[in-house]
Amino acid sequence: MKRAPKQAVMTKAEQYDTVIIGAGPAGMSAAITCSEYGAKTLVLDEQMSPGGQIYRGISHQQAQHKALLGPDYLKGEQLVNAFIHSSAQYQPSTRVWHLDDDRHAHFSVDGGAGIVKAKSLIISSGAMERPLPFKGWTLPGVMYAGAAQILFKSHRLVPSENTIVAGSGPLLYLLVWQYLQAGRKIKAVVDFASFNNKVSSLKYLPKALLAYPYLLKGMKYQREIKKAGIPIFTGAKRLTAIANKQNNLEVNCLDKITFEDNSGIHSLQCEHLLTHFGIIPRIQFTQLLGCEHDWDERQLCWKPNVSRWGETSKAGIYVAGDGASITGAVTAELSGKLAALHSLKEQGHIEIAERESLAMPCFKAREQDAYIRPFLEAYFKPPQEMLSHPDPETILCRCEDVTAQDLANAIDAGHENINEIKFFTRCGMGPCQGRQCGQSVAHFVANTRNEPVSAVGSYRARPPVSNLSLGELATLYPEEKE
Amino acid sequence: MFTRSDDEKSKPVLFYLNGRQVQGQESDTIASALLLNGIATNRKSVLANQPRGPACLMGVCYECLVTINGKHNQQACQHLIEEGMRVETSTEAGSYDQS
Repeated sequence: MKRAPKQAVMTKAEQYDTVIIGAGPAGMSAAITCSEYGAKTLVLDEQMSPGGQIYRGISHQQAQHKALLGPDYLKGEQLVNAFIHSSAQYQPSTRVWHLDDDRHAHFSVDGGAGIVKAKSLIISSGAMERPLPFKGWTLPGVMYAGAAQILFKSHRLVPSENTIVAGSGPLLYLLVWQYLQAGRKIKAVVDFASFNNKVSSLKYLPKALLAYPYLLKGMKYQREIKKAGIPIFTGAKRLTAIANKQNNLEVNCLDKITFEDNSGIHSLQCEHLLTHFGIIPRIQFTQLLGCEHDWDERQLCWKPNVSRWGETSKAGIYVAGDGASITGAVTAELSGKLAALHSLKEQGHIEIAERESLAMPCFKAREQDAYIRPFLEAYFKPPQEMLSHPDPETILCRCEDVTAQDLANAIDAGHENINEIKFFTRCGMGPCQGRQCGQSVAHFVANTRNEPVSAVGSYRARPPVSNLSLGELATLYPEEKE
Repeated sequence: MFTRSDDEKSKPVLFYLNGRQVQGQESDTIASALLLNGIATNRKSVLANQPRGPACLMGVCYECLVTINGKHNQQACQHLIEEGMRVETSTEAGSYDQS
C-alpha cells in the first residue's frame, strides 16, 4: 500500500481511476478489488487508520485486547491486512469537504487542501449513531454507546461501574458483554425495545432463523449479562438525563437518569449514560451531490437511491456499505466489491463476462446476509414517541442550542419547509452542519404538521460539508509568480 | 471516569492540559486523554452557555472542540496527543482565556 503524498499543494487536480471515500469494510473491499484489476485507486479516510468504525483500532491493538471484542471484530483483520498490502493509495486523517458531479473530491489534510478527479467515485463513509434527542442528552457524561465502544476499541478505556447503557439495538448488549470480557460490570441495561415492536417482528422470525448464528450470538450476550447479575429493565419509555445541582444553582454534568416502565417511574444515579438507538447512513456527501434519496419507513432513515451495484442517480458515483442502507459489515464488504466491479467494467479494466462471474457469488452472499434484517429492524425499531414527541425543553439542534419548543414556535409562526425552518432557527447551521439534528428535526416537523417525513425532506447541503480553514483553502491556489 | 482496561505499557506521551502537565499513551487522542484525566466538560455551548463534552468520538458531533497549540475549535477526537502539545478547554462560551 502506498501512502499518498502528505502535502497536497496542487494547481490542478490529480487524476485517478477510482477515488474511494472511507476505509471501513466497504471502502477497503472496493479498494482491494479496484487495485487488483489495475485501476489507479486512492482512498481518502477521515480516520487515522483503516477499519472504519466497526474494525477500529484493529491494525494497532495487541491480540490480547482484540480478543475481548469478539469474533466478528477479528474477522476484520484479514480484510485490513489485504487492504494494507494492496496497491491502492491510502490517505488517512483527510477531511473531504466538497464533491461535484464531475467527480472532483476536494479535501483537507495536514494543514493543506487538495483536489483529485476520478473516473469513478465510491462513497463508503458508512453510518453513525442515530441522534435521538431526549431531555438532558447534551450533558457531559452522556455519550453514544458507539462512542464508548470507540474508546474501548481504540484506546482500551472502560467507564466506571457507575454506568448505565440505554436504548434499543444489538450494540447495547454487545458493548456490555465486551465490558464483561474486560472485567468491568456496569450498573444496568435499560432496554427501550417495546413489546409491540417485538410482536410485530415475529412475522420476520422464520426468515431470520435462516441466519441463526446472528440470533444465537445475541441470545448468548444477553444470557451472560444476566448471569453476571446486571439488571436489565425492558419495555422502557421516556428517558431523561438530569444534572447534579449544587446549591440549586450550578448545572454541572450527569447525575442520574429517569425512565418509565410497566412498574412505574425509575430514577437511577449514574456517572455515565451510554445510549444507542440504532445507526443511520451518513448522507452528507450524497446530499451535497444532489443524489436522489428515499425515506425508509422501517429503518427510519434517509438512504441514497442505489442500484444493486451501488450506482446513485449521478453518473460514475456509487455508494457502498452502511452509507447506502444499514446492512452490516459482511454486506458492506460485498457491496464494496460489487461497486468496484461495476466501475472496473465501466473503465474498461474488465469485460462484462468477467464482471458477471465475479459478481454472482457476491450477490448471492449478500442476499443471504440480508435474511436477518427485517427481523432486527422491526424488533429494535426506535421508540416512536421519543422521536415524535420530545419534551419541549429538549435540545434538538445541539450546535445552536435550539429546543423543541423553539422549533414548535417557528412552525407556529408559519415556517413550513425544513430549509425555511433552518434559516429562521439556525438548526443545521452549526459546526456539525445538520448531522446531529437533520433527522430529528424532520421527524418533529413531520409530526407537528401531520406529514410524512419523506414530504418534509432534508436540509440543503452546501460545501464545505466539513471544517475547512482559510489557511487550508489558500494552499489550493498558490501564488503564481509572473 | 474512564480507566484503562489493562496495564499494557504503551509509550507515554506528556502534554499540557490547561497549563498542567498530564500523561497519555501514544495512541490516545486528545478526547480519550481528556476522559482518562477525568475531564468530562471541554466547552460551553455557544448560545446557552451550557456544559458540553465529547458525544460521538468519531468526528460527527463537533462537541469535543478544544484549542490545540493556540488553534481554536479543533475536534479533540480527531487529533492524537503529541509530546509538548498545549491543549486548552474553555470555561465560558466563546472565551479562550486559559493561559
